[in-house]
Amino acid sequence: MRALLLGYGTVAIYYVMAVTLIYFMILFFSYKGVYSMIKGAVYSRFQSLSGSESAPPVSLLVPAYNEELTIIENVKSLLTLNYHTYEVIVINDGSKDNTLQVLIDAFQLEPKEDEKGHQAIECTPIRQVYYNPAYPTLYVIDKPNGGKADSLNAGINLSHYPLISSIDADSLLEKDALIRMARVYMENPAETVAIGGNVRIANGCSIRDGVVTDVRLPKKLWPMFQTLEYMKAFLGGRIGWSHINGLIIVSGAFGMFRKSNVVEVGGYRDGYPGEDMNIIIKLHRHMLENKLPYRVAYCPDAVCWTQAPDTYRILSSQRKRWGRGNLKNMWENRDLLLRPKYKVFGMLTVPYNIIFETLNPYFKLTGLLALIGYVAMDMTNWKVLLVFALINFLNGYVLAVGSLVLEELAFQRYTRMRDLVRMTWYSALMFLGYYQLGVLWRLQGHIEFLRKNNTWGVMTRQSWNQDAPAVNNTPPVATGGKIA
Amino acid sequence: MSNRNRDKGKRLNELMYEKVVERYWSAGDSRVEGEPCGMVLVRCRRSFDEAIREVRARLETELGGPVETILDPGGEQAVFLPFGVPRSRTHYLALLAKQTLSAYAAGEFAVMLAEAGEQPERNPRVFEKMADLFAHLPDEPEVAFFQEERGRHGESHSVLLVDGDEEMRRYLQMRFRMKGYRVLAAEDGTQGLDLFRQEKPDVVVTDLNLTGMDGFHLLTRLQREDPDARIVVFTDNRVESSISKCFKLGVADYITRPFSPVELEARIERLLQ
Repeated sequence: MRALLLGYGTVAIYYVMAVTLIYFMILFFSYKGVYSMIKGAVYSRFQSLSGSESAPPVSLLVPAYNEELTIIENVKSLLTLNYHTYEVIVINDGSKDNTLQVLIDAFQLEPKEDEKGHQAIECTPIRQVYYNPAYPTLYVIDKPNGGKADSLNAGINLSHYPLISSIDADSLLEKDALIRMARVYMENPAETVAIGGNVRIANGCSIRDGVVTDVRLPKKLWPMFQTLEYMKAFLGGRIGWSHINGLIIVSGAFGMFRKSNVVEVGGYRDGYPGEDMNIIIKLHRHMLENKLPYRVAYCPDAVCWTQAPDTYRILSSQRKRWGRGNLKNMWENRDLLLRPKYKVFGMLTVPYNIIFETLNPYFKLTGLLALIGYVAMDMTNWKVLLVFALINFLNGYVLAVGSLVLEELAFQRYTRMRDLVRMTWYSALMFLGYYQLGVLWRLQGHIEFLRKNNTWGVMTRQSWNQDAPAVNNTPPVATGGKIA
Repeated sequence: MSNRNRDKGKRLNELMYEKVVERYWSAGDSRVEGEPCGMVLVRCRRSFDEAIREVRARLETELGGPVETILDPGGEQAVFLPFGVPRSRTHYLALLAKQTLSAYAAGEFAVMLAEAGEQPERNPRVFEKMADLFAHLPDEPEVAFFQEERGRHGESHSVLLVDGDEEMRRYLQMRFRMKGYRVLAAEDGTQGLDLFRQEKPDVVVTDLNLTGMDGFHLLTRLQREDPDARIVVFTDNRVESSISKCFKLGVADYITRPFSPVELEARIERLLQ
């Protein structure tokens, strides 16, 4: 038993060292990426680009399921982006509420018989396309319920432009988000297959006419933790991964893809969460197997504001879903693991994700058991334990603060001193419970996966107006379940 | 300050008229013919003497020579007559005056920019009207513009400007005002449409990239309101399909940025003829 525990301890130490090393390496690459971004920004004038023919037209795909409360405002905001040629395709995925009707009423849409979309990718047959010439950039597809991936596929089939961009119906794009992404695309149009956007948490911000006007930190605890978590993941993580072309996920809330490649890999996968990670893995695999030069880029200054779940129930459900999606994707793509043919993606991204993301809960859990064992068998003394805990905490904290510094260096969205202090403080607080809960949720997600639970889980929607001060104080609070 | 005693009993406009006539007629100097005649009218309700002295000193330093100054017997107003200084430069002088005055009497002053036309044939009634208008001008920290009435109907043309960029709006607003247009500015499509309904402007200058309502939709709505509306699209969007779409929607002109203000003004002027 002692030997076993000792052996485990050795492995665990190497594990922790490896993960810490990778984290710091990625953070380093993030800094490198941001540095070149800041330098490049001086020379790029995206304002002028927004009207230039050389930026390719984009089709925005907005899958909507039971979004009657927020959809109008979001579509209105999407219709006024700073971009020369784009279209907004809203896909009503068989909503049980009046999503379709409110859209038809607000934009005086009429059935458009000559547009049925060609079947480039398989998807549930659509019922009807709606259109109004007075809003020439808006299309609404009505189709029976088939899930988010299926909706996106239907949108791809109707889309008229070479680039597609998927956007959650509960998210708001900044006016310049598309043009900033197009700028990244145009740095290397031949090789860019996908670009991720930066997702930020809008809870706590003031929103007027579908535009985030005043950036504040959330007041509630759960969204606050998520704000920091997103910042760390997107700025400290994804910039770095994209720098070495090892990005494994482009957020489903906001990403841009080259349509031809998405069609080549058969579109989005159906009937399961994790479709956003899945499409990126498929793109990596496709390009690497055909030995085509490519890159999956990330554009941290293209911002999409989203509503974070603010209750335990919804947050845990979301995270369990992510856990399920991650496990499923990793299991299905285990053949990529450590195959030199798949380059950085196979040699680093996939192993990292399997060992340090997917299997993370098991290491944490066995670690806890081992710790109990060490104490029970009197193999440790409290000083060593304390030192280990302290080193662990400091590592994590330096990483978290590193992301905050990155934010302040490059983006400065949170300008108030108070917010900065709060962010630094809460970054430390997250070690007491929030990270542990994350492990628990992931584990529960795995259990759900093994029980073959394929549902989307609960997701409630709140009207954007709720955050706007003094507009009206009796907002309708949505409780539409989002079960796709 | 000797002027004040000598000219007692006369009104400001009469004094201005006298000075201008003195300059352009009595001298009989052919050099001054066709020379511009800028005017900066200032009003200051606090520490008047001191402030005016300061403004005058500032203008004289700027121009490198003396500036004809008239003090109103009422004791609150003064007029600077930088003879021979073109309008754009006079505008700058007015801005200097504004800056100086805001240090002396923040919120209690007014500045108006005017000129006496290019012909040395000066109509006393213009001065009367100018002085009247200035007397009724509320105290505000912006330079107001005096414009002689144009056209037979005695009305200036109006231009509705719809643009989300505040800098651009302010710049064009200033330029259009100097052209003598009445300018209505809107920062988004909804506001623009409201102003269009209320004021029926002669020309609409609009961007396509707007908040609240997209540009193409605004064009459709404007057309629906008034099929004869004269609309100039003024935008970053240089894509051919957008240009042809706009002309299909009935716009009169399409100007892309980066732009030449002179061209923009010339095109608007052509539409107004």
